[in-house]
Amino acid sequence: MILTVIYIFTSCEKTQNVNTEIELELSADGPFFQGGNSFMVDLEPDFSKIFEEKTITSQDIKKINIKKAIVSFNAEDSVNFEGFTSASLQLVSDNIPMQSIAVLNPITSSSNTIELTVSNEVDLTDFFKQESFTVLLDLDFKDDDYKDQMILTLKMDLAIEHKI
Amino acid sequence: MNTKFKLMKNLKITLLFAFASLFSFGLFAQDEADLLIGVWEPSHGKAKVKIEKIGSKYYGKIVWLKEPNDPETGKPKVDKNNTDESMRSTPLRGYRILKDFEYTDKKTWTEGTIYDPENGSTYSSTIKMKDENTLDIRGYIGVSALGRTDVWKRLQMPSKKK
Amino acid sequence: MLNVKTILFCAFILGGISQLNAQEDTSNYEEDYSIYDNLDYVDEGTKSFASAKISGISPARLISVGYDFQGSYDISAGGIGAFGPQTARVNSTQGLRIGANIPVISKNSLIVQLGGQIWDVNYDFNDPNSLTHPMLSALSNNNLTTLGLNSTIFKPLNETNFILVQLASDMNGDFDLSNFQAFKYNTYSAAAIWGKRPSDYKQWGVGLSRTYRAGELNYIPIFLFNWTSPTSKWGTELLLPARGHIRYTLNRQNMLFFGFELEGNSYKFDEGGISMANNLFTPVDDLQIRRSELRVRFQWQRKLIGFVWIALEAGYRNNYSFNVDEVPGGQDFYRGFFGDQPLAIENSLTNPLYFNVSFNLVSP
Repeated sequence: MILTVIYIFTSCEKTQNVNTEIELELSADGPFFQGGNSFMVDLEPDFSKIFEEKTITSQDIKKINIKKAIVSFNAEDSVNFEGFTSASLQLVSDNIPMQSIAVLNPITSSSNTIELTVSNEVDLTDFFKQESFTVLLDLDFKDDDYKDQMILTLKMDLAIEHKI
Repeated sequence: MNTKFKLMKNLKITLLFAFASLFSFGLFAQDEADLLIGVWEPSHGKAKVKIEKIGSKYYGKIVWLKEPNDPETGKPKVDKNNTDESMRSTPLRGYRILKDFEYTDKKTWTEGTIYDPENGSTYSSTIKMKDENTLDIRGYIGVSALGRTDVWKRLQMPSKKK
Repeated sequence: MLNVKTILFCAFILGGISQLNAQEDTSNYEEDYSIYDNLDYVDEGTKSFASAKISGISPARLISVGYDFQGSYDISAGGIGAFGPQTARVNSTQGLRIGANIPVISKNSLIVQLGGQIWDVNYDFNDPNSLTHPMLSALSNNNLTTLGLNSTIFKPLNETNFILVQLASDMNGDFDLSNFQAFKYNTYSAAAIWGKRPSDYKQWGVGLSRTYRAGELNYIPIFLFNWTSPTSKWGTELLLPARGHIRYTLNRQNMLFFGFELEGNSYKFDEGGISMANNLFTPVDDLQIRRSELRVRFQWQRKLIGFVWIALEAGYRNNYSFNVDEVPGGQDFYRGFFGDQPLAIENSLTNPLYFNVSFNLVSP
């Protein structure tokens, strides 16, 4: 009887879906040799910037899916993706297992922007409930590149389902 | 008065050295944890795996494949057996097959997983360092008894050979 | 003025701080994959060993729970002593099959598995009250049960060659689990194979076995051949003459098989309610059914969730032997192809379709 009541309660819980975009700057120090190179940034989730209602916290989040992941070089850097073979995006945290969330292989674009294929299955909620986590982008270089540093912009479109 | 002063001074020095000792023991444990870092070869010799540290955990990625290309496609191997279809184009070279290992003690790393690209399965895993150049990596289902241990050997650049 | 103790303390702490700075995240730097082409082992004399599996082979079963069902058929029992022959209709033969194979040692240089199985075979006769033959009555009143223990040892000698040894002991009869039959009636089987694994896609071996798969004790050569095509779509899993399958892989979690298996063992049976004591010239305890059947089948193996797979099987059960021998005191004999020991009861069975479903925890 009690279990039935609880089930009815939870199934009547109201939720709302919100789409949001997060923009991050990832960097790596050179020189860069042919092969895989890792670009990283630490992210501290701040839901007050995502939601208009400030009362929504990480505890209200039911599900977060990634809908789009776009990686680009700044136009003024004069770098494009012709010199790269693949890109793989992962999330890393001290408290939860590493998760691959998007990939592009092979990279055929010669522009300064690529869009990765995102995972349809992965749920990012646990990461966004952490105080911080690391966004890791592995880029495969075709040839050596002796720059001191490279910076990329990552835009992620997220679909967030939260309790009202 | 002099005796009291001496006692206080000795106590301060003792406390300082106790603190220093604790600090150094923590560092010693960290040294042991980082022994895992390096390039290793599984017993089958089909791949070489580089173990590195991200944050406080250890990860191993494939950096070399004996057969780098898929005989079916002629192209570099990808994660074609991944149960997540959208991630099947991930290249195997660079793929982190060891994930999330945490150092416990006595040269043991636990709470990790090992991924087998041959069948797309992820197993719970622990690593024990038998000696500085040998790892016992056990992959298992649920309990350690239902698993298999593989021996990995450390690799080095030819110029550093003794 | 600094004293020695203070200087030492500071050196200790400063040394520690520099160590701490050295233990940084090691991932955020460049990677040149070409440097990994020519690396050496740090230690000399590292040995590689042949793996027990090849690429693409179906997963090994750690724990298996299944159910076997055979459709209706006729059983014709020959006469014995004062009992005349009788033919009876069996509606179905079915029962639970539980098995386990646990690796107790599992490493590169040696794999030792210990296993066990419990098989139950229930004979559902169409008209059990009409049975006058002691063997048929025994089958109707009691199930046939197999309780078995086995051990498998895989020892790779080097990167290519290996030895595979299997030992098994089975208690087979119409006993129930609360009342075992005497151990002297156990059957003992063994197999030893010397093999080669020339590549990740091929594995073969030759050997000898002591087996009851044909119902009675036999010593026969055996041949192992596991192969996967370069595309990983097709393959074979053969251990002849015990079983052989062609495999088609839809994907690594979904496989189809076509082939056969020869199943059999020697079963002691009791009187089954019809006293044979005064009507036989041999003690009933000395009689054993030499049961063997050749199953030709299609099989579908599919991952359900995690490491749990389902296997569905459908095929034709062809009876190879259901004769009865005298095995005095459980001391078996070897008839082979040239022996002339007479049969105690000659039986024949017609052949039905059969189905089998099992849920299996598979191994890494």
